[in-house]
Amino acid sequence: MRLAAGLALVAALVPARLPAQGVRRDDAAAVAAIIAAGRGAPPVLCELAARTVESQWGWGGGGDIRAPRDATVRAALLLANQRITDPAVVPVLSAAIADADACVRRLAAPLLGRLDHPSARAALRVALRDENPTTREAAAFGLGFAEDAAMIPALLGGLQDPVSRVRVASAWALGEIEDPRAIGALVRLLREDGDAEVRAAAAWALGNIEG
Amino acid sequence: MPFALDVAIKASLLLLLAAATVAVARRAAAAERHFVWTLALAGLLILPVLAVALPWRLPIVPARVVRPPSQPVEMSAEVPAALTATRVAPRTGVAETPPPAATRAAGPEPVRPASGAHALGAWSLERGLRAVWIVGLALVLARLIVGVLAWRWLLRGAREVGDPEWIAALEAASERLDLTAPVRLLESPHANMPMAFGIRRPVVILPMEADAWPVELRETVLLHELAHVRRGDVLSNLLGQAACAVYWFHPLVWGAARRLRMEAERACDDLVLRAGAPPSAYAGHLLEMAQTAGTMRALAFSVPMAQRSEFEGRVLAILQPDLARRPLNRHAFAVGAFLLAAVAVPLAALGPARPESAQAEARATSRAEVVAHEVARVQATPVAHAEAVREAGVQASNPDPDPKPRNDPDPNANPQDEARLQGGATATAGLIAALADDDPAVRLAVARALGERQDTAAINALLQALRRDPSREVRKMAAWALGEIEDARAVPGLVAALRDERDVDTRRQIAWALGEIESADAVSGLGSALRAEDDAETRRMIVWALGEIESAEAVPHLTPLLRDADVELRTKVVWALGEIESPTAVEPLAALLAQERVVEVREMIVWALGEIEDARAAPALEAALRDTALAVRRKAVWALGELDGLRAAPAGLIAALRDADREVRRAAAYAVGELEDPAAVPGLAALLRDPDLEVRRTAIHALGEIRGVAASEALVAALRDEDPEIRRLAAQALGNR
Repeated sequence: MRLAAGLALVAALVPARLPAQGVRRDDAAAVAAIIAAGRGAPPVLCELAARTVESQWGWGGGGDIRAPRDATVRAALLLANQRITDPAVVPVLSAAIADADACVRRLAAPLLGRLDHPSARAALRVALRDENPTTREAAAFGLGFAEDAAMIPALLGGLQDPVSRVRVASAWALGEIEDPRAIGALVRLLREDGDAEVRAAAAWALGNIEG
Repeated sequence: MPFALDVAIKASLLLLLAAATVAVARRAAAAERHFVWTLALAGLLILPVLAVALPWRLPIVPARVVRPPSQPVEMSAEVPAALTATRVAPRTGVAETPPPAATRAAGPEPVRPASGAHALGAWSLERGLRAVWIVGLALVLARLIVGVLAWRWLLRGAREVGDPEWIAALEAASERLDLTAPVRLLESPHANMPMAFGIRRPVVILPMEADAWPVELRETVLLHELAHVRRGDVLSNLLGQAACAVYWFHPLVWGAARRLRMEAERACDDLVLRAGAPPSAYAGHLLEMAQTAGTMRALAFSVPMAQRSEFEGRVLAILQPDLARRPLNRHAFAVGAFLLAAVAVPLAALGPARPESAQAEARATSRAEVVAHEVARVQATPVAHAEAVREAGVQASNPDPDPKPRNDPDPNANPQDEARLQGGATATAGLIAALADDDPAVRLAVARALGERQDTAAINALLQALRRDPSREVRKMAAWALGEIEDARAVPGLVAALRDERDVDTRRQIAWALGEIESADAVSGLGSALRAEDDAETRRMIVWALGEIESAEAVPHLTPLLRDADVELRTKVVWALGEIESPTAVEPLAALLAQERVVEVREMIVWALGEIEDARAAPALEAALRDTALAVRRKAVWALGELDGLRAAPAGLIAALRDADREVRRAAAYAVGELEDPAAVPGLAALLRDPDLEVRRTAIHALGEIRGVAASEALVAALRDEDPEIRRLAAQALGNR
């Protein structure tokens, strides 16, 4: 009898592990791991890790986390296998997008943007008004991953930022959101902005928005 | 591969291995066969656990190397893909001649980034399947639990057997079987046959009628049930049931569990016989048991003494004098357990290597290589792109604050649809104005955005950029955008630009755009460009574009190139002529077929002649039936069947019915059937004896197509064929006449 129960338990546990992406892990621990791994990571490795985080949309398929030898990429893959949903990590991520380390900001922004919770959105909106331009840039970047039309007014404000990199990120985010209400502002940016990179980003965003 | 499928396939392999072992070891005793099945079923249960838990994999499938996504700007990669989309397969139900290898050879397809939606779909399917599996598991486990409850209920109504005669018999039987563990003996009004149950505290339960049994019957019954206890059959049956629960969808597993139960019974019978019971008396007792068994279904994992279904084989086995009846020895046990581990562990680890790990293995992941790889896949957003470039040290960053643009956002003014319409026009107009931007990088982004939007309002502006922009990158992007917009109004401008453009990459891109637009207006312009062009790759692109346009006007421009020294160009010209399907190309193609040295080109010529479908190609194709290259012969047979207005099958086609290659024979049979030529009847009738089933089928089909007495007679004769398939098809063909 006890043996039968044991066998049934084993049988029930095996499928629970079947798709690795279905497994919920500890969000806080995963976020802490990625921030620690990102800090001071060489730029190109950070880029690789960030792409991994960005491209997977938390649906798994991040691949075999044993394969890459580098800790940053490994942490990113670990995270890509997991969808961060716990709003408890919002304060940690808000601090991370204000971090002095570019890689930490880069890795945290998509995570905060993709966390579908009002507190995450509020944190990004606040960060978009931060006094530090790198924080504002990361916040705009993160909002591009939120793809939330309610964030358009905040990003339109970002298009008027004095620092070009914030305007680039804001234009890019508006292109990701693909809402035609941003077209007027983007056309103006394309026509009037003094920075070529900003104008190119505006053009890209206009090409991305249907209509 | 989905996990479930993976495990199911491995389970099948394991069971087939067990079945093979049992089949090979014909002389093995029942106990040994039982052990093999036990091991196999245990292996089944371990398999999914190992597959999840093992830290390493054995890649068996050559892992797909993940290619880095190409840059979005790399447009020419899209072009050869269009070459592969040729309509080649004959329009038939029966014969399917493969398209020429040359056209099938896949060009690089545009690589698209993986979409999240796809992953989501696969994930939901997996979830759904898992839910179905859990329901099945629950049902089978429920059956098991009902069995346990029924057993409990049986025990509750049972009482200890106090009869000293029974107790003495029990002790005697235990001793004969070397059984040391104490066994409780119960009798129950609900039991209709003797059963053994319990793992740690074994119980034998008897029906109430047992008191009336003669001594010999009591003895054999007890011996049999105690043999089950001794062998631990309750446990192995439970194992079988567990395997059935986990693999309820797998018919082989149910079969294996059944075999396991059968072998357990036979092994017990063997033990009883070894303990000295006379076989004929024992068989007789078993018969009595089976007759009383009738109504009550055996509890899922108790061990009833006899079940009707498996009865005959058991009795025969009992009465067979020279059968091996040895029990399992320790040695065999150890070897078997080791074998199980040796088979199950690698089997579980087997699997296609995951792309990432394979990639990692393939390109020994030194950090520098990862970096190089990643730099090559700069594909993402302009932000990411800019950052990648900056961080790779290509460009110094510029943190200085810039003059702030003046704008006045008013996002909520319009309803969404109107905003989309107006916004679309605004966006295109804004982008068009920005084609005059000072910075070439901005103009490049603008041209690309206009191509993405595919708005015809941008055609003139893009043509202007194509003619005037000082940056060749921008000009090339403008050509790409015009190809994306695919509007014929751009053709005159593109043709003029093709004539005047000095950058070869841009010329190639313009030719590509004209091929995308597919307007016949471009033919003469492409033709003169073809004569003026020096670059081999661009010439090929122009030929490709002419093939795409499919206008007969292009033939005079193309035929002179059939003698070009560039093999790739010749192949492409032939392909284009096949696409255009103009009969004027038949003569030059047929002439080339006789002289062409390259097999692939000959194959392509034959394909093109088949596409053109002009009967004048028949002599050349007939000659191709004697080609040294098999691929050419196969294609020629197909092409002859495609030709229009051919009254009779060419002699060469009828001769091809006797070709050494079965594909040629099949295609020939199909072709003569299409031509409905009675002259082919004897050849087709001979093919009814062909060793290849597909050839026979096609021959019957062809005979059915051909009118006249001779074909009917051949079909009637086929009704007496030895092969039932031929008889059936012949009847069918006659019925359709």
